[in-house]
Amino acid sequence: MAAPVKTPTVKNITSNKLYPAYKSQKGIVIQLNSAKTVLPSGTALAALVKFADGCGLKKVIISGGAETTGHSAGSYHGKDLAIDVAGKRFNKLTDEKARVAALNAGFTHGVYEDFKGTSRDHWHFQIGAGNGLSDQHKLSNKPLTAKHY
Amino acid sequence: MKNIFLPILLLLSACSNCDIPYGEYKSVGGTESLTTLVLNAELYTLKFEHWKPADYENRSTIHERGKWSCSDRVVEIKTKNGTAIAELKEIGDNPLGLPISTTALVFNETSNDILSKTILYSGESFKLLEE
Repeated sequence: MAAPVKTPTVKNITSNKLYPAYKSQKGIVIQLNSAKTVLPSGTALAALVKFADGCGLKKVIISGGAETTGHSAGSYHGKDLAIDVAGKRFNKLTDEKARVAALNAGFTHGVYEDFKGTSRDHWHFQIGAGNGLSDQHKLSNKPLTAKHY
Repeated sequence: MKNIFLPILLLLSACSNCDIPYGEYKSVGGTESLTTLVLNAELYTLKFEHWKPADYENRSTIHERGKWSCSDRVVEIKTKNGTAIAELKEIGDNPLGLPISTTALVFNETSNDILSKTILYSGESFKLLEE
């Protein structure tokens, strides 16, 4: 039986209700891109905090969390097992840095969705295969799979 | 009698002003969904696209059209999903890098799954975001 995940504590540092923000114990800011984005809980929150602490940024902008609406049926977001990290325009990360940080944090599968010339790019990371992500999207594969539109 | 009705009429007239510009408003994205609302003189068009990760080509799309109403900076939209109410407001300090004076349609928390708590930005904001 797996040991229960210790859920980390994050401090709510929201100054503008439209854009909630939290701080990890290491002092890294987890900035949500809107109040519609729901901060994950349990295992996914633990992974998100580890990702934020390990990716090398002082502030990480998160554009998807544990929303139960606004995603496809069967979405890992609704299962509280996925996050979306806003793309390279907002988070100065490379695919490789993001992949390693996500893998070390406990996410298992991911993809970079690249909508050329828009603000819609993002990394999607989830715990477990499914809902469109299979072996080819394992984070243990190098390089990270990117989907260009 | 005239003296009573005139101020009331003026007040009613002022109250019916709509300060919301017509045009296209969109969610900023960064996830597997995109909401686009177009406000025209009488009708709105709402498009909600959502997809599985890495599968935008096979996205599902919900299209709706209908009437909308507006008073000052508040818009009310009746959709199949329920009524949604938004206010055009300054977003203030934001993580998107937009000027704090940027205005956007900020939807209240309602039972409308698509629009509840959504922020929709104008085409002008997208020019700044995507230039």
